[in-house]
Amino acid sequence: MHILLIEDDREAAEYILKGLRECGHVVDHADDGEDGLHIARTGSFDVLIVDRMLPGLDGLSVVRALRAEQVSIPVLFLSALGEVNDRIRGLRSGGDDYLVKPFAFAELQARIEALVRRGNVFEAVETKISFADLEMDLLARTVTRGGRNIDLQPREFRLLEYLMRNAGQVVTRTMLLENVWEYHFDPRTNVIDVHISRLRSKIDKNFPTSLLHTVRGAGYSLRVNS
Amino acid sequence: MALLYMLLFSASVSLLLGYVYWSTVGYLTSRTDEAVIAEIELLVDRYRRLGLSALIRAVDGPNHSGESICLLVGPDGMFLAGTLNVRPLPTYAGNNWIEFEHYRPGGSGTEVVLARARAVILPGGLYLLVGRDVRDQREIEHLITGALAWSLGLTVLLGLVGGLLVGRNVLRRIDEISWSIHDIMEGDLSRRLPTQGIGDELDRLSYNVNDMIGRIESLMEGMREVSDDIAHDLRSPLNRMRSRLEIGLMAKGGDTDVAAEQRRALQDAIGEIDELLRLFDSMLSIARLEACVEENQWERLDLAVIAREVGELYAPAAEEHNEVLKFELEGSLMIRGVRELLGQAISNLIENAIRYGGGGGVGEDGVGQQGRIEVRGWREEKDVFLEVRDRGRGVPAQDQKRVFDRFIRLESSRNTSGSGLGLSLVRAVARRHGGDACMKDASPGCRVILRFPSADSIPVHEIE
Repeated sequence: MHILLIEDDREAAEYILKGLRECGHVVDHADDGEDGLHIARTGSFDVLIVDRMLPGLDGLSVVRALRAEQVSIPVLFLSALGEVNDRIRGLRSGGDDYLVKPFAFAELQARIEALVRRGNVFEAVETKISFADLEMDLLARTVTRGGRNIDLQPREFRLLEYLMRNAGQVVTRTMLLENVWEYHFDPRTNVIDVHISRLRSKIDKNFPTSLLHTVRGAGYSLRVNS
Repeated sequence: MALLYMLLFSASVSLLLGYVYWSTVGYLTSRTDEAVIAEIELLVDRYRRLGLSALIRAVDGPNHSGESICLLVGPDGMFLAGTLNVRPLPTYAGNNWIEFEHYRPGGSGTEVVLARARAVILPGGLYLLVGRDVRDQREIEHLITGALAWSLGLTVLLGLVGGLLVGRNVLRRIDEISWSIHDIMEGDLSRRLPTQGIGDELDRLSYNVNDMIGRIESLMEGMREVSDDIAHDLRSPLNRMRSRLEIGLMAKGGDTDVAAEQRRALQDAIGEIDELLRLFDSMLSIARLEACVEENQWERLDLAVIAREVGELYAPAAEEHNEVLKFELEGSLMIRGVRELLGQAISNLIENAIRYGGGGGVGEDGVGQQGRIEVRGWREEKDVFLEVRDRGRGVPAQDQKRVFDRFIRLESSRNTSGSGLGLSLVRAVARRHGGDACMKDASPGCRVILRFPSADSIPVHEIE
């Protein structure tokens, strides 16, 4: 994956660069807004990671300028500001996701992959999605595995839908809370884990292969083999 | 106290008027008495020196007409001289005064005369009586007594009414002052004591106390700013530290025991740093909420929906703790606010209820007992209320206000995790929305009640 990181804090940049390269991505780095905008215009990238606070041109302006030029590369904002208004402003200016510093590297990685994947998926109106022998009918709100009907609560349905749309990838607890419950606060108890284990008992119990896996130190993943 | 002052006041007024009575009426009487005694002495002296006929002349003389009353009677009871003729004779009473009424012919028929007199027995058995007609004097006495009685009555009445009014005013002001102090002690340091602007003793007292509260407020403010600044400044180095530790984790160190040990140590360190960062973030969030940040994200929201959403998020976790969440939400509870903040506040309350609810666990008979956590919401006039109630050990009455302060962790929860900021954030959120939070006893357990102004009760211009 080809990634552009626009980040002025050297320490943070080094951390992200090292992490991303460790995972096998090709990463370019700009340390101010002007440079970043220039590189983003000339290169071809799969995803942009943009710090909100930059010397000169700030992150919001960079993304606004790109969007004005019909550049649709997925953008992940990084920010030290985690307040509701900051997040909304970031998304409004054309960002696709918003990550508050500090973050675990696994969180950044999971979000980048989700963004790139979302960008690649053809925006057709789907009525059915499936993964392995799991099938979900979005209109009838039904789920079957291997032809057997699985009864899910509405929220469990949304949880499974999100996992299926990001099948094969790691989704973190925060991503689940943000996308399934639409809250951004940080629950101190293991609320998400309990929901996952309930869902797991419905879709994996009584089946020979497990689909819903826990990824240590990162989150969960829907995949065929462990 | 007021009654005591009233009694004291009445007593002194009575004493004063008593003195006035004594010095006017007493004076009049004693002057009459002195004149009578002087006249008796004069007549006795005349009789001794000049004999009976001189006495008779003196008694019949022009001095003894009008108010003056005089009577001389012989030893045989024969009338000898005088302006007065009474039968039977008023008895001799030594040095005592005799008062009697008699009728005497006047200009317009007979008139009743009130006499005050003294009788003496002269050598030779003569009976001499000298006195004064005291009708006028009695009249004056009467008038004075009446006037004094009226003054006493009026003064006491006015004193009572005035005292009551002034007293009530002063008491009302003292009451206001003590209520304000009560509020201030509950933590509202922006409150000040009321003043009248008339500069009296109570006003001066209030001014001084207000200055004192101002000092305390600015000191507290300073302290909070310092702690918020520290939280802010410590975030960056912690962030960097966290990044470095994560870089350390990325290194492939082989699968030796040492490497595994090191990885675990690094992960633990990151966990600790995350805990610290979470704490600082909470502090900064509260500080931002209290500092009145922008309000452009406010929208009309149904608190019942948010409570249900958050409750549903926590329901499985509650069940793991042998607790069950019950909802009792009255229709729609529309307020204006920020969904994220409200969700966070409710989640803090439910988390607390799960953590400290303690109703669960396994009973003595080995059967799991479910604790109930109740989430109730209702409307009351212009306010919307949301209550989260647990059935845990509860919070002692004296701590029920303190729990909302920063870093207050009760003795009973020292050993559990938690920052002591959860309820502070809840209150900051409620206050940010124009409401408040309070804790009440539920025995067993406790209730935390949030109040918000309902969406319809806020004029639009206050929000935009």
